[in-house]
Amino acid sequence: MNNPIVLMQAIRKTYQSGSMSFEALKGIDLQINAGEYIAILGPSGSGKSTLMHIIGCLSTPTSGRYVLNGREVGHLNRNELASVRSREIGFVFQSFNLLPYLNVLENVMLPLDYQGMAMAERVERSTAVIEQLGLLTHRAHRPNQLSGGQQQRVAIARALVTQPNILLADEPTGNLDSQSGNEVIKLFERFSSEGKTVILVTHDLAVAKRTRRIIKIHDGLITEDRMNK
Amino acid sequence: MNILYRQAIRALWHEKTKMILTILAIAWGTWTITMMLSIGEGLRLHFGQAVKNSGDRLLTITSGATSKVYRGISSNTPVPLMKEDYTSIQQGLNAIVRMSPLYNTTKKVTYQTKNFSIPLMAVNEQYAAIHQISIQSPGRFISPIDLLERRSVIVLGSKTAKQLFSTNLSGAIGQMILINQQPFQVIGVMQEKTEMMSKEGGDAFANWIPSTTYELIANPLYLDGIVLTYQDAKQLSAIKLQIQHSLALNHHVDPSDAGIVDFDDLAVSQEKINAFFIGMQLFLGIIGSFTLIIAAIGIANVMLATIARSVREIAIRIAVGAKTYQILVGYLFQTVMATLFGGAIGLGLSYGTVALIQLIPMHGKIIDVIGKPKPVLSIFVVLIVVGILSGIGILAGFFPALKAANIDPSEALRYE
Repeated sequence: MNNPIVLMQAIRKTYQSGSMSFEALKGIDLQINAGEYIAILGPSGSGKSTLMHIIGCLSTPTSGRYVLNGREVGHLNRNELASVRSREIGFVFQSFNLLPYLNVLENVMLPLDYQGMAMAERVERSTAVIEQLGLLTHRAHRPNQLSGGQQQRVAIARALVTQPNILLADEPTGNLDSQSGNEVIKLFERFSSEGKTVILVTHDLAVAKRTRRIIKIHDGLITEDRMNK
Repeated sequence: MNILYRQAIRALWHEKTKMILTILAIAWGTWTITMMLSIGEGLRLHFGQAVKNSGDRLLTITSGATSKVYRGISSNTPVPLMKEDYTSIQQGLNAIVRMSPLYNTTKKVTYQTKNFSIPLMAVNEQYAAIHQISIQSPGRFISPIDLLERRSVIVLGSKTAKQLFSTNLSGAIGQMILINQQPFQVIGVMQEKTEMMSKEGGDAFANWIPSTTYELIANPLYLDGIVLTYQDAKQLSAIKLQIQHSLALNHHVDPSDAGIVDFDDLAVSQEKINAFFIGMQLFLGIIGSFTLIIAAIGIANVMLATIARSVREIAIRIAVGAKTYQILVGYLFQTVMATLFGGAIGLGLSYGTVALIQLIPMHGKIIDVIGKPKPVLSIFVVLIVVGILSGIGILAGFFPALKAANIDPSEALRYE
């Protein structure tokens, strides 16, 4: 399979803070094909979160070329990025990032709310994903009534509900005990086997080792890119 | 309702203590401005009606004098109003609705043991409609037959009626009174009304007899005045000019001499009084607005604090696909909701307050003359207040909401 869903050439990202500037990415060349299961590995401050935000269209590179699923997205404005995100990307965060005053169903439904989909379809699609992740009995619960593992599954359901091409997870097991973390990783393996592109950003080698390709990043540069046996 | 709006209301409820206090501040501000405007409105309508009661589109003509030399007639020559003038004005002007000659005099009245001087006006049957005088039932105003037959009948103003018959005003009808020793029958008593801007203390002090009767008794040389009403306020200056020309023709004086006739029209005074009260309302409204603006600053502060605390939530919403305007509208909606909610409470309180004030009995010398002005919560006032509230809500919400919509999700989500 040689069908690039992510194609990056000479991506640089510089943060400016007053007279200080900091170069988080110093020239990234990266190709990710559809259906790959990848870990981006690196210590904190290595630039891996910056890279993930650019892949996920949360921010744009200072220079370089980024083609996402055949479309140049490196220089889009906020609203164009928002609609690309809502079609292409599902985010999963370390700290789940659920909205505390919404129940499970409402949290999962949130991305569809912004797409302006009809209410009946929103509920139907969200319920299907919730069921898929084994949370159907918790659909009316608030996040604070759920365990960490359950909350992360809600977050994963929210990421999947728009049927994105890429699932992008930032330290998804970082706040979970090993058993819950293991279950979450198993979910990602399942999505990958179903043909979704899954990208995990982590500093945990044990998590990275369960993917099929490991990209190591250090000081804003890719230092290693190898297939995992 | 869209689920995002429902979420916005729930998010609002999350900040309930602060929000309730802010909403109360808005309610208080609304109450202040509404009361100020209502009092202004009440006064404006009251005095506007009072001026109207004194005669709407009413023109009073009195005699003047030449102000320049013209064909051998020297300056300062009086130009008295004559019966011929009355006739030529009546025939020359089709913009006139009603018209009456006017004789003003003071006569002694005698009834039983009472004996004093009263102002007396001699007019025709149209005068009541011209001056919007209503007659108490039973009773009537001067009729065309009275004029034709030069009957000795009199319509009493409310003050004279009270002086002669104290409280038994309906008993006055049919009574004979003496005017300068001549018997006159009372045919009507004027109903009291609120009026302003009239000469000789207003209609309440006047009494009326048929002009023809007066002419028979006193054989006056000149009219003291002519009163008329016309159709359209826009016609006024043309009417005045026409009258001036027609008088000049009758008296062989300069038609371009504006001094030959005196006009007294209420249109100007009515405009002035209206402008004055609108100005006063504007002033009251501005003072009220300040209170509301302070409350709005409170709302803006609560929104800024809410947004500062919700940076992460906003970033999550943006990350899952919220567009800039969707975030903006969400927060704007929260602010406008809070403002309108507070405004509704304030308007409700104002409504109650106005109703309460309406119940308070008011007495006093001035009140007896001008009537009772009461605050009026009119649609006009409500619309202005709702307009100001919406404007302030949008202003107070816009900048915080803009701040929220421009949060950098990458920055906000960076630090776990």
